[in-house]
Amino acid sequence: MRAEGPQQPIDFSHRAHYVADNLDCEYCHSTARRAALAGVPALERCMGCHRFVATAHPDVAKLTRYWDRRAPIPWVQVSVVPRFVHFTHEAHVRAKVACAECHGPVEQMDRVAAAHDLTMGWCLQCHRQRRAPVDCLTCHY
Amino acid sequence: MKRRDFLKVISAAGGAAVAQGCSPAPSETLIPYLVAPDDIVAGEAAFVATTCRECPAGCGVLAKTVDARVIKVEGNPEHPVNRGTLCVRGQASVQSLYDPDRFRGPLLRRGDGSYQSMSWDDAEAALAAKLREARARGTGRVAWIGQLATGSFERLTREWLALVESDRRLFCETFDHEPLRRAAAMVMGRAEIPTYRFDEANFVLSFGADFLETWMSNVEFTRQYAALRRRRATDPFGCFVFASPRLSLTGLNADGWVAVRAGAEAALALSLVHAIVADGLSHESVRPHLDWVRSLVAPYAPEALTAITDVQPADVHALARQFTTAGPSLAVGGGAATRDPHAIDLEVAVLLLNAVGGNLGRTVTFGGGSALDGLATRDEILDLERALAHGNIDVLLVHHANPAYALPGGAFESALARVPFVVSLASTPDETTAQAHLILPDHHSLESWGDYAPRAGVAGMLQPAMAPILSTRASGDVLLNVARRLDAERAMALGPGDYASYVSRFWGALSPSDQAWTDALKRGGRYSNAAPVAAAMRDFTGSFPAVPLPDSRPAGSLTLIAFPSPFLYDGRQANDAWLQEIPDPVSRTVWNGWIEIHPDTARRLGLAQDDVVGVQSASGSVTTVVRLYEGVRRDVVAMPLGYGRRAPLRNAQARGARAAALLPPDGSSWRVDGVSLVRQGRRRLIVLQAETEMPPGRPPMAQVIRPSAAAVARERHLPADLYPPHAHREHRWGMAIDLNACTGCSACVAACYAENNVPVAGERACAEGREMSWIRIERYDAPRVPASGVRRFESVFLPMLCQQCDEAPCEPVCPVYATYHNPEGLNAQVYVRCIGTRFCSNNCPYKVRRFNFSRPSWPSPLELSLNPDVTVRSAGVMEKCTFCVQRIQAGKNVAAREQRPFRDGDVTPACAQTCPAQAIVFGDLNDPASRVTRLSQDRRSYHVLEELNTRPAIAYLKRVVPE
Repeated sequence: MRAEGPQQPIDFSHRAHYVADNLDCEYCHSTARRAALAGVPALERCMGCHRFVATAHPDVAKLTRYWDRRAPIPWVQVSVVPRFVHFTHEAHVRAKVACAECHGPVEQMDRVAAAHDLTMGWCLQCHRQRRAPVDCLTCHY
Repeated sequence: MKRRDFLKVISAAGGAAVAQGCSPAPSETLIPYLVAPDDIVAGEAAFVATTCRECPAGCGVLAKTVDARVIKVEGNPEHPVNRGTLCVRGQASVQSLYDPDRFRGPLLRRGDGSYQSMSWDDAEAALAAKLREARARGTGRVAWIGQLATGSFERLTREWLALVESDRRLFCETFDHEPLRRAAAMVMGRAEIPTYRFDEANFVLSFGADFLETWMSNVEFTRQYAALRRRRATDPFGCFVFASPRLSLTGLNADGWVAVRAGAEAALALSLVHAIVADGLSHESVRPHLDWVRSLVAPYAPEALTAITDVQPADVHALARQFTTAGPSLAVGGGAATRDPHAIDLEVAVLLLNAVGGNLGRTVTFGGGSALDGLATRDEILDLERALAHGNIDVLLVHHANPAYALPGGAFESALARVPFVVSLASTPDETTAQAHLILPDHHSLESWGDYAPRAGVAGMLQPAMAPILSTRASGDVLLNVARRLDAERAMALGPGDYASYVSRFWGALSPSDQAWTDALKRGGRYSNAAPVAAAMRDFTGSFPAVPLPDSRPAGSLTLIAFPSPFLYDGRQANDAWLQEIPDPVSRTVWNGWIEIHPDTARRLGLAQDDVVGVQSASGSVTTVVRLYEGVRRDVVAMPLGYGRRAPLRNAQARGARAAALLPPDGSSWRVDGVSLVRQGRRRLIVLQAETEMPPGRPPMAQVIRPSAAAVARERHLPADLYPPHAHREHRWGMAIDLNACTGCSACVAACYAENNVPVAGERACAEGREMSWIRIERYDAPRVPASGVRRFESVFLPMLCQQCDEAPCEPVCPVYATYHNPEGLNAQVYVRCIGTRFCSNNCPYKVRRFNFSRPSWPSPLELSLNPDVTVRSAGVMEKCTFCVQRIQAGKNVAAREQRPFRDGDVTPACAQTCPAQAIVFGDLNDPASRVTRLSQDRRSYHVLEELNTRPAIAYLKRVVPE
């Protein structure tokens, strides 16, 4: 396991949410199967439960304050690829690549950290194994 | 040893540390929605249907938005006017949305001429106060001059003006069609603009109407004209003749040029009618009228008018034959002759031509309900000018019009100075806002609600494609708010709520249910077929002068013609950097205005290319630069409108000269006789891809074919190849470009700029040949065959882009394998590998590779228009056309998502999508049924520079030129 991930504005724990409700990744990251971006859930999704659930928890209080102020939470990106790489989640979900293969066991993380350095060589390893396209124009255009 | 290891060893030997790989990319902040919208996915494009308002044609557009901002504008396939295509000015309109020079909020002009920002509340209160005063002083003391409006805004302005006790409202366009309306009233009893069907004609005769550029509805007419050309490809005599003193871009597309003397277009048209009637060629439908037509045109025999028109009688008779035998035909007036002492005569003659040609009711119909019928007449504008000058108007509101610049002469500007309170609703500074006391900037059309109906049966809508980026306010809202401040009780008649609800109420009266409103919004409007009405020609006693002579001119005198710029129009888009950087198709000039002079005339006057000349007319003088052009008569010089702007616009200010300053100030003419030219110095005009005569002996770049040959299959001999062919297992992307359809309009160039984040190089870089356009229009003139009067220029417009060669010369010379042949036939350029040796561009025979010599920049907020699907390149990187690979990947993705095979038409690159003539076709050459495969096998197809054995993926179809 790599070093701890970056400090986020709210100490959101994937582990707590997974353990509590066994939520599927796509419940919140809902556009992974139909778009390039997996998406970070809208504040409305969090408030759907946290209007009533664990309202006394300090981080839930922070969340509620963001909601009341109509301010979106400025999450710090953990899985980063440079702008000249056009990565699309949709094709990978369609190819039945599990989320954990690239992002690591996020459901066990209290604070999300990058499980792998998302370098091109690392991507190519899997692409070669699975006979996915290795043409440059697949991602670089 | 592998290339990469070799480089590592070299650098290690040089003592430099060898990097293991790129350092991690910097992480960014992810901003989620508060409440996610139902139908929008973050990062994916959403298309909003609205209407382009850059000119009165009113094409329907789909604004492509990503993350709540507009990044591109495309044609709406459902809109009957443009059917999914869009012209160069429409494509460039996204730049005016993010124009850095836009007004940021309301401004009040202080006594010393400087501007002070104010809040909207204060601004509206100030306007209401002035209106109250004006209303108290009497009726008709408030006036409105603005762009053509229909539907809800037309009604709102009318009702609003009634509230301030006025009915002085003028919808003013620089290019109006008043002579045509008056002629139609005389000949047909209907004072309206006819509907033209170029695609139903077999032969077109234009007296200067640039229907492929700015005349009326250029996108629709281009599509129709392209259909006509395709249908008549085997016609040995051609299908389009242009009769005008100057060859515009439209004229360069013609099969023949009748270089009639300036001002004698009416005489020529009447002599044509005479010839048709005398030679017994008139259509049977006109037989009841034949007697009085014959007596009407009796004085205008071609033989009698040769000295006036400078057209030989034999040519007139030949043209008469061509016009009538290939029926139905179509004659249109226009050009410089639309503002001319004989303009009405010309339009009457053209209608008579259409009548004797049997075109009325077929290619010329009435009852079309064109919005242009609502334009102010010249007399009405002069009336307003007089009222302003005499101080009869206390408050003048100017809405998206620039009469101080666009109207000829300077009379309007001086009249404007007499008005106590001028309010401008413009978005950007212009010559009229310079005189405004209060500026209340309107939203851009892409930020606005509204509607616009260019003709009956096409009720287009506008809806905001993004939230306003500046502190502007919809003019409709300004009018409603001010009305309520002024007279709350009477304002209740305007209804409650804001302008958006006013618009929806206006439409609610037309479509009763909410679902209908939503459906109309999605489609961009409501479209229905408006059947033409039966219109009969009247016998009228024409009030022609004995012979419509052009004013007698001394020998050697020059006539100046001011023509609409195909890109800048009347100057309204002069601040658009793309429109300044894309070369004018006729003169190839960028970033400057010019004056066109025939080489023989220049020689006679002692002028040369790039000379700075002072041009003097009876009305004024300007300074501009000479551009030699054989497409003007020897006694004519021509200048484009739209240059010489004085407003503080970074791309338009002080570029070129204002041609309108030379014209008669009463607005009666686009031409002025007796101009003189005085050489003042020298200045190099920046000209890109100057037109070239096709060199003898070598196969030319742009190839033409005679109609007889077009019917015959040709043999193709490809040279032998050293290399084994590439295996394209799945797809092989290719294109077919029909040179017979391409009009040179350059819409594809602007679309490419928008889609692919192509940077603007700027004037200096263009001078060094460093323009960045990935596709360019090259113009080639075939050797001219001198014919007695009906000359042929045989210009061919060739869109040149990366040919995606199968045997690309650029690939083997790249030392770092940044460019290679991809399995689907594309010549890939990987920006991140490129180290900038430029060897590839050196080796490319088509010179389509563009190098970023400097870091591209987009002045804020233009960077908002960047397409996130395309990497923004930095300095030191080579770039070129990719066949819109981002669209190819997206198209393949959609097919995979829908679990179906890829279909022809799933992917359309930006250039092919926007082309109004549909000259560019893209598809899979591996698919035997695709359009591109069929077109590549056409008899007319060839590859450019075929003999070099580059094996391009683009097949060009030769342009057909008559025998």
